Amino acid sequence: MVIEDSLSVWWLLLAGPLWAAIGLYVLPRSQGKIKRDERIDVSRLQIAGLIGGFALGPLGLGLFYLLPEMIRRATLILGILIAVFVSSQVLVRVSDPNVPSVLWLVLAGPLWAALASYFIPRHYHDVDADDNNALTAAALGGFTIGPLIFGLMWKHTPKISRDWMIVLGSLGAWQIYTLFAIQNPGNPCVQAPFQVTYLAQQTANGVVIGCIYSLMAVGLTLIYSVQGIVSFAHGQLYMVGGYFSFYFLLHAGNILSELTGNEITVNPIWGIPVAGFIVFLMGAAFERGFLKPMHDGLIERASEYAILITFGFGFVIEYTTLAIAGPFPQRANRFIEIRRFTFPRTQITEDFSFGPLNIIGDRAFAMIVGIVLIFGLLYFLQRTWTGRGLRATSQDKQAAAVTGINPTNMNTLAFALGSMLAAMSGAALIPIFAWVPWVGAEMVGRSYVIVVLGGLGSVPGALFGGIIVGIVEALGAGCHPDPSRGAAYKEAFALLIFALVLLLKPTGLFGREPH
Amino acid sequence: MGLFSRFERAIDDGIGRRKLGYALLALVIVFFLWFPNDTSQSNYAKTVFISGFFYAIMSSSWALLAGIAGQFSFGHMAFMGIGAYVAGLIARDGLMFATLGIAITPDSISSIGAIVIGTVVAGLVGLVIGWLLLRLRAAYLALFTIAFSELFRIAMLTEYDYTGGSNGLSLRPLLQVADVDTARQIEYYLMFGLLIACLLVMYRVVQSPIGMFLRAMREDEDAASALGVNVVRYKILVFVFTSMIVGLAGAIFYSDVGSERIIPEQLEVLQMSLIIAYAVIGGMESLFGAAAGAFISRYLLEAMREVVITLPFGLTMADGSDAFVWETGAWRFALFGLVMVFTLRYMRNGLLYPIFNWFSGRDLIMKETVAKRKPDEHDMALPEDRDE
Amino acid sequence: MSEINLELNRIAKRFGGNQAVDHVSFSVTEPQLIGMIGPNGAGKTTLTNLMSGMLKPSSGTIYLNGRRIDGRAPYDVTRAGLGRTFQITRALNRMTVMENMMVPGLAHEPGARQSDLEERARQILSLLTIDHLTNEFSRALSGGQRKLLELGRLLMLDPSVIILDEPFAGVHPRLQETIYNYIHRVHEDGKAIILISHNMGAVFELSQRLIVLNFGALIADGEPQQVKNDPAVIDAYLGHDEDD
Repeated sequence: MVIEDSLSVWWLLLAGPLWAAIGLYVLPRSQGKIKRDERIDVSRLQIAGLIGGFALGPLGLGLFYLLPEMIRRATLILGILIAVFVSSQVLVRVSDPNVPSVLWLVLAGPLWAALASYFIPRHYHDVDADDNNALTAAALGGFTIGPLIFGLMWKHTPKISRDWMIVLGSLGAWQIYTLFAIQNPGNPCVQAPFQVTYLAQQTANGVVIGCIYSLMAVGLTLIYSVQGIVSFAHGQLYMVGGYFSFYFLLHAGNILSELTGNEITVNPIWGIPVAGFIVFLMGAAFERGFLKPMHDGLIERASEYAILITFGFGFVIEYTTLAIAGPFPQRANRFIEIRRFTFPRTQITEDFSFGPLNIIGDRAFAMIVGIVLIFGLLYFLQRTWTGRGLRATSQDKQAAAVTGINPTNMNTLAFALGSMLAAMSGAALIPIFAWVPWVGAEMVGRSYVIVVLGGLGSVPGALFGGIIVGIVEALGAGCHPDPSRGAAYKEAFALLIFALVLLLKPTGLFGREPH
Repeated sequence: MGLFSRFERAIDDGIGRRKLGYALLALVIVFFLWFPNDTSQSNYAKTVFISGFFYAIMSSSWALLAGIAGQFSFGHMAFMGIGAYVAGLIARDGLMFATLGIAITPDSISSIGAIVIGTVVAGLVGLVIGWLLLRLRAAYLALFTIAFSELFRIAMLTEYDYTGGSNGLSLRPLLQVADVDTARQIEYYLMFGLLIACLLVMYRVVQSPIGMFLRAMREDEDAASALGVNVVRYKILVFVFTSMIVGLAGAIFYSDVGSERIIPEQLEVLQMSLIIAYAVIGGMESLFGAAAGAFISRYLLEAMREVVITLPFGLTMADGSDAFVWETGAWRFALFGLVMVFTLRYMRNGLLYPIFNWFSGRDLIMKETVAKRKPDEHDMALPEDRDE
Repeated sequence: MSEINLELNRIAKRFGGNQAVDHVSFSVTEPQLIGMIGPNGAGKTTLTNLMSGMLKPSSGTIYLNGRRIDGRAPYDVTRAGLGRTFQITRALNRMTVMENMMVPGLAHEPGARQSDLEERARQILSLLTIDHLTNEFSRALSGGQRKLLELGRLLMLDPSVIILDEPFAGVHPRLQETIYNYIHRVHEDGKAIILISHNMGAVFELSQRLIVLNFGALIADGEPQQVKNDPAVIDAYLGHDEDD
């Protein structure tokens, strides 16, 4: 045991848990003699015992015992006090002395978020207010503007809640940016006050790659919206799409030349539709063989079966590819000869210059492929009979079946189309990234992030989600104070968003609200 | 009458299935106890068995979590990793919260102490994750646990100053035995004992009312709750319980018992998928099925690294050798995946569970009830509403 | 006979802008048979979910036998003495009928001897005429038998108030009689029953008191004959089928 100083505030805190335990035991049992109408929830008493005991020791317990009607308000105030105290103590100990402490207080975000998301919905319940979105707004607000959120949301959630959340989200991003800046003043993201070229470059990179992310995520969300399942084979289909394109381009020219006797070169673009077509067939076959029985009601606990069977499908694809292609990184030829597009430098004012921006040729091409395919898909979904049938099936299976749409075919089509989109994303990216059989795992993780962020089953959600995730990753990796860590944590940024969205608002930004 | 049913009748009339089952089980246990004493076996074979036991623990605890309690977690490997990493870090760096008056120095802690702390931390993280997961179901739960697992892996990989990054982290060896052969033997018994202990404890839980509540929760959470089952408590409980089991197994296995160091690669989703595949093949609703599935699959995968077929009738290969040699490489995993997929589709209970079931005589009871069943007077007038 | 005192006090539930249950108050203080009716979308099922803890009310309180139960988890509510069935039957499919009965039994009385509980379960099953299915997996049961099983499970909990959500829906007429018997039997045991059904004939025949909901609000509460002639009720049902 190491004892630093004999009577520090920490000792008092250590006594806190003891009193909290006593409070947890004693308070709920103290209600025996009180009239029924005034009796208070056991769980509330437990919380009061915990917090009161922790903060004020015997004093708090006595207070709550004598004045039970004060419990709600008092626990709230004490909770906030504890939070302030603990966070300031912790932050004083870990923080850099140069950093302004006010910022640290605000940056105790998670703590405030937890407090706000606990107390505000409960308060709403008490005053009979609409608690729709309250949890999300409170958590986000607590994270960004700290204690101020209590004042802002105490009466009701402000009307324009979605815009409002976007504002808060941006504020949060700004805080992280400031944090990066303070941690590392030499950071290229924050260097000179008006040097935005680097940022713009990162953002542009994010948007470019985000288009392909969107394409892949749209496939996932399409499958979900029609079939109601998440495909855990999506990453492997993406990977195998890349390989199909690669092998096609490797051999097609030679084979065609031999057959015809003339020298024929195959344009690399052909790899994309070929990969898409093969995987379309693969997806359709898999759906017919393994998912259709589930929809026919032949399989119990369908949701779990769907998870496992798609997972197994991906497993088989991955190892078969590994056996055939080997673990060596491959890369296809570039689509176009232009190495990079450069947007020239723009001088707006004397201090403010912008550019030049470089976008690598193949990335730009992949972006165009992504955009074209997304528009093609939207056209298909909105304007053709089959596409409308798909959408109808996703809205209401039975109603769609009554109007003459065959739900079995729609299920197959959705899965095959979704798989095809994944494969085409892969085929579009194989000239850019080194391709190994496990490349799908990272990408599919990202797709899950995107679809959950946008709302599972929502196509516009997947489109915006893809671009948002692209930007977040590019900025996160480019601006993290420690560049090597930044690159390694690239995925982690997105995963963190993902976990938070799942917990706070599982319907995502665009998802249908459950009723 | 088929051959099998004749055979079945002979056993039922003679020794009885249950007794035969116990006899076979006793034989299997005797074999495992005897195995390391067989001097003709190499240390490599023992190593394969040791890792087989480890994966049997992983798979059977996943079967408890997913198959019996219905919580489709992909974070199992991460909890194992937490146990191992925490044990390793504590033993190497100690733990200092000077202001809290807590100090564990590397000298003051034994390797067993480190393993215990690793297990407890895995349990605590399981508590938090279990609590967070209360609101999520099915695919959402799977996605969240994947995210958790990946975050943990990335953190372990990136914070190489502490964790050794992709080189991995060496834990303090649990045993200090100089002689390699003896060491292997002790490690073998240690891991085998751990497997048996874990299986017995989990079996005890599954057979108790808690096991019944867990299954009720799996079937229908709302209905179970409406029937008075405290779903919050049991959901968290099962997470904490299985996390502690795998945390313990991980901390022990990587304390130089089965492997020298824990590497972040072990925490990849792919590794997790192996655990799931073992459980599915063995029977994910049965602890023993999953354990046996893991052990046997593990053994076969190891044995199939190189397939050698000696050619009959004096035939020779082109190069003059008399055997066909196939370096299976990743094909064995591809094959294994196919087995998993078809098992899922056509033998939902796994390949081994039906065998156990046969020995237990449970399907005998079922047959009797079917025979007793009267012509049904309770049929519905209207089409049945199928549960979604 | 246990004490019965269910008290709803201005219970409301809002989904976004939609007021699904609009400040409903009523109380049950004796072992009555109460019918709860209302047109489709009147909030009957939502109210059931609020009472049984499946949903949290936006405001208001519910007390059962002196314990506050609103916003509690369903298992807490069940322990307080309120049992319910579901509109769509929810048997625990891959567990045997006996296990289906033992889950509530053990959850309700953790200390009880297993054999005692099994004995009680057998009695209940024979009352419901499904005792020959004891060892059958409940997925093998027909829809009507599952409904009976669900009713049987409730009795293992020994609740003081029972909510039956559409017990006659999709059930063969012969089975309906078994359910009638069940309801009478349970009622004689001194339990209060809240019966939700579209089957007006059954509701009027069985109930001693009627509660009528419309657009989430309680529009009538009283003796069946008196409620039947209530202008507000007639108004609510205008244009709705009343033929059965």
